[in-house]
Amino acid sequence: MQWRIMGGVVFLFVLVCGINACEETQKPPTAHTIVLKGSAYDRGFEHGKTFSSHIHSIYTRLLTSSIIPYLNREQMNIAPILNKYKEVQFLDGRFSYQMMLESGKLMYDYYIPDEYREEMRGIADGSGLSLDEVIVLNTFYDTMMGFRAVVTFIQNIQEPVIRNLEVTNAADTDTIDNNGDGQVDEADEWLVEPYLPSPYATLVEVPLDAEFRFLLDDPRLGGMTYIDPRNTEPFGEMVFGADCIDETCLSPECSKQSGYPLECLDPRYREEGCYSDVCFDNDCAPREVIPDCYDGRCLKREKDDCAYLSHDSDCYQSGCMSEECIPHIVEPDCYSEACFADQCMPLRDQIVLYPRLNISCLKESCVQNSDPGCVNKDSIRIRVDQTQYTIADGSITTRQLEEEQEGGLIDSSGSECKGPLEVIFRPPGGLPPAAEVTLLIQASDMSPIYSPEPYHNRNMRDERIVITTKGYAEKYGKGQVPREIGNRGVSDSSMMPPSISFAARGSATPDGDPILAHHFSLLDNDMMHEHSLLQIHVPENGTPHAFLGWTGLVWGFSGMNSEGLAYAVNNSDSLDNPLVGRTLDAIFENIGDLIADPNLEGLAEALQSVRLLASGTAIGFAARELLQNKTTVDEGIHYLHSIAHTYGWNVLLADAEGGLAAVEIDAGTQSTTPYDPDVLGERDGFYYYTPDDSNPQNLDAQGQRWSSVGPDDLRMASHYRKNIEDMEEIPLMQIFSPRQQYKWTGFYFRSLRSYYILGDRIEEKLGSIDVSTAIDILRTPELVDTRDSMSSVVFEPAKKRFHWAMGDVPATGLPYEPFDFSTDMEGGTP
Amino acid sequence: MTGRRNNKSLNVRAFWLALVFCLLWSPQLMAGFTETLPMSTFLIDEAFTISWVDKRWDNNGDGAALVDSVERFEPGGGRQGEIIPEPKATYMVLINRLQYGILDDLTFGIGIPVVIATDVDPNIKWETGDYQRQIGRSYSEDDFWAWAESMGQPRIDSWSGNKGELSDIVLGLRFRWTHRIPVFKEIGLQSALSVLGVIPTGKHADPEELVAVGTTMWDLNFQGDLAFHLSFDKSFEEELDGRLQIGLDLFYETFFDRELTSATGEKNPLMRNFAPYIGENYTVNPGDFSGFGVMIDTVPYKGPAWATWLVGHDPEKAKALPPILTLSVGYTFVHLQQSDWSSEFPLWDYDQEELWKPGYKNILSAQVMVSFLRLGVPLRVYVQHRSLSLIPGKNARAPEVLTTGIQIPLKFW
Repeated sequence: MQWRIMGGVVFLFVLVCGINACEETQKPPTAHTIVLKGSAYDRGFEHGKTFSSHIHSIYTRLLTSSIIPYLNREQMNIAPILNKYKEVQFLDGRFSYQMMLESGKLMYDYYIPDEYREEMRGIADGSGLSLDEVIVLNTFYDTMMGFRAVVTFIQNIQEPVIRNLEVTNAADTDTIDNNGDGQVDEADEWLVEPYLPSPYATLVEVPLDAEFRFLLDDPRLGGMTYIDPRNTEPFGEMVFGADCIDETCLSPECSKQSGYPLECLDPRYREEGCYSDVCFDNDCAPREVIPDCYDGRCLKREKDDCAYLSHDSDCYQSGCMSEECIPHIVEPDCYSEACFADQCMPLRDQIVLYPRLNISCLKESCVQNSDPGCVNKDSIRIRVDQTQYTIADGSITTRQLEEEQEGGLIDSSGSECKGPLEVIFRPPGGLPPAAEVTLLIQASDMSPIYSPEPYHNRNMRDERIVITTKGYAEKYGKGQVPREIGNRGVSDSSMMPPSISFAARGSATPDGDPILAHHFSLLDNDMMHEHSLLQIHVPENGTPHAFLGWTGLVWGFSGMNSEGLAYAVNNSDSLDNPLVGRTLDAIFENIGDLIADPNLEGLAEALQSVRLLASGTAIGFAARELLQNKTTVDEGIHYLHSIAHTYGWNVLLADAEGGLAAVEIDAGTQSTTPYDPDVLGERDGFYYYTPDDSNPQNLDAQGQRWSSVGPDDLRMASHYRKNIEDMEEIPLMQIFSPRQQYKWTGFYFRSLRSYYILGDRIEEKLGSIDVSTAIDILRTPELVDTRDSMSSVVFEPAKKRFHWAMGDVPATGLPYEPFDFSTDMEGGTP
Repeated sequence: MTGRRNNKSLNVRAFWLALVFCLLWSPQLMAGFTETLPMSTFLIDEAFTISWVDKRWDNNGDGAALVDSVERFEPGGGRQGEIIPEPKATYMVLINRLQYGILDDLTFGIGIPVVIATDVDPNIKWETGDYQRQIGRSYSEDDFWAWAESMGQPRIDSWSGNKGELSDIVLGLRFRWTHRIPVFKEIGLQSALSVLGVIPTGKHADPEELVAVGTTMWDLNFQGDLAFHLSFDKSFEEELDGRLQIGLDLFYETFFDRELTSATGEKNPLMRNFAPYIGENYTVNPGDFSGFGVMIDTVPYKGPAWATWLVGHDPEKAKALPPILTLSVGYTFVHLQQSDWSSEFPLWDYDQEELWKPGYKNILSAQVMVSFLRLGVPLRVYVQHRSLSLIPGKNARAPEVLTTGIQIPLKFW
């Protein structure tokens, strides 16, 4: 009986357990839809209120713990050249936030239409984020892209560069224009000089036993690496030891000390000795260099001659600053010396505040040693298709050359670098016959870069060169000149495809109706997809519209309005942006001195007042204006033409009537003549084309459509097709000259590859490109960025509906959800 | 193509040690589930427990590292690599127990666990990710941490703490309800109902620490905040001279919601900075436990029964004292409910809940007890080992727990 009793109890127990909550948790949705109606403020408020935690999440996880600290690391490279960023308001981790805020406020104050300012105010009020934070969230993208370009530019001018390349053992008798220079079998038939990255093959019909010769230069600018005061040991690892610091840069107390004088250079250590700590309060700037001026929150009234170096304008007293400095950021020459202790004041002229030491405090010999101007021969890697070769395997040999006064090159092995490094490469086993072959060239110089971490040498961009080998032209019937072969390269898992878009209509689609497809990839950061938000706006004035965006943002990279005007934006890197433009203007003003003595100290002097501010209408806001106030592609082109832009973009437009256009934009900072924004025309920084071949503007120099397979399609990736000279070189500026997109951006070669593959896919499906086919094309594995995919959509402008995918990575892996303006204008899924 | 990883941050701190140790009821006179102390008798029990854990049973019942690996991404630059923690945690706890026989069939107990030390070695491994053009290579582990440190995120290091920290105090009552019903005695079956409750004197792990463990019942996984046990013991006095006893314990243990403080990023700005979007506090319902245990006690050696002072020199009473050597083996099945996290950001809640999904654990235990009572010495010594790693479980940690302790019965009146 006892066993029955126990068995019964066990049964009851199991029953109790079974009815308990045992189900697994279900994942909440990562993509939402919201329909917003009413005034701009009301729509923003509703958005902010509904997605408050998402907005705080995106701000924290994207900006606070990713972008802001990530860009802060660049202060160490930026501040020594752009001296503005040594100022106090940019210190202690505030550099990138402050920079983005200043830039955002400039756009907010002068370029963003009232409608969207109100909407952002609503988001701030609804979500609890400050308006400044909402501004940064909505503008950081434009600032960040420009900032990236500045950083890349500064790095670029110091990186190794390929001067030329040549096949040294080929005969000049094949009656083919092997190097595409327009001449056949001339003396330098196999020489490509200067080497320029090309969207096409660089050489064709290369002999199978070819020996390649490259010349690599490494610009010498006197070093860009500085001591990190936080990193005081061991000095042996640093570029500069303590013995490299000029004694005049040390305060008297510090110079008496032995050991680590770097500590004395950090204002956090200096202030104790030099300033009275009773002056500070928590709200203003407790860490900064203010003497007996503070009382409570701000300056003592009786000490009006004191100044305060802070971004908190309400902490200033006007008596300390010249009128033009208020309420802007305080310039160094706006302080009153009375505010500083005598023994400290002189130091300000000599020592860069945390985190870096001014180059003027470094002894010249140390500076020279930091950048020997040599390409590191051991760093050279040459990949032939999928096989990589290095100097260690014997297929690569190098020789240090020196420039002769007469202009020639002589062997200078054994002495310091005074010329290019010659690289001779003969692929072991030869090249495959009648084939497209990809050469990938990698090299770094001998400048050790400690910051941003991790430690590395300065690397040039991986240059991808495509060639064809003997027999290719005969076998495939093309490739008599390099231009007939696209530089698509081989599959490379280290390169993710960038954003792509394409449009089709008429003969390209089954029913003739237009479609526009887009896959945007840039920065998921393992979190953006969790904040996906399809926003449908029904404004009080303007056209109802929808766009694929994110919580807290008032824009997206693709969208469509109820009239059928649709857009898709891809980033297209350009140095022709306001941040670089300001830098170049300052360089240009001082170009004489810089060329006479090209070094970073001089560059820093020239750029001392330059600020990194993006100006123009941020692309997302421009896109909102398109949706809200335009209905056709022509109107869209006119609008984009009429405004100033912040960066480089490729915009694809489609409308309900079948209008298609590709617009290639940059900031147009090199424009020398003013243009009438009301009169449409191409200009510096603004190019557009359609598939219509009856208009010469839509055809390239060879009479081909710029970016179409047939008469009814267009495609774009993340490089320019027409705006090739986005940022023209300025020979006068020599090494400091800006460069075209194709010479520097890391997107270039991967974008080319995607562009060509996309073209192939469109050509395969021409005539049958409906929504389903478009999605198939977007899902082509080689076109999908599996790391930073952010949104994907196929618009049907004539039918006023679209199919969108967001909320996972890659977005193209998700089902495409339909949205129809005629039926889905209510509700949402918050 | 879908199926993004869900592990958003390295969550080394939040693993239960799963000591699974009966905190309050010390091994009893016969080590059964239903024993109560004689009226007015105290039992002092001092036990030292060391527990170590370096694996868990995943959702498929396979062995896995305690913490999921974490992919890290360069902003806009693809995958930097994967942090693969293979942590090992060691917990040392001193358990102070006192039981008192209010009646012959009703015993009160209090357990005061004090953590001697907790050590966690995160044992981080690294798998390189995408080629990073700006540095000309993929990130090595050192590269990654140099990068992270430049972003303000310190490298994950070992953690040691909780030294001398009090855990939650446990109070309980056991009522042997069959004691007064003769029929149960006739058939050799006893049953008891036990109720245990917790006084929350333990501390939660520092929310800012990446690698840290608290000392609450939840952290230690001793038991629920409120526990109900219905137990049965079947002895074979006549058939086997009392050398065998089989016990069954059915239990249901519940945790109350607890409010925890969110990490602000003060110490780990990249990996633990949830407060701005999940709110300053969040609540957790860890999910209840339920299950059963079976224990078999055998007596290989009863030993002599001396009529010492302990039994008033009464030989009959001496024979009733526990045998000198008792060996016990047991098996416990514990069902774990889905945890429920609640903050202002549902996706974060989900990420945490994913770490604490419903499952079960299978516990094997073995114990040796040596009693000196029959020899006139009021002392018993025991060693116990519990293992969750021998039989696979699901969504449960798999610690090993070794306990040794002494018991001293006292009677003052």
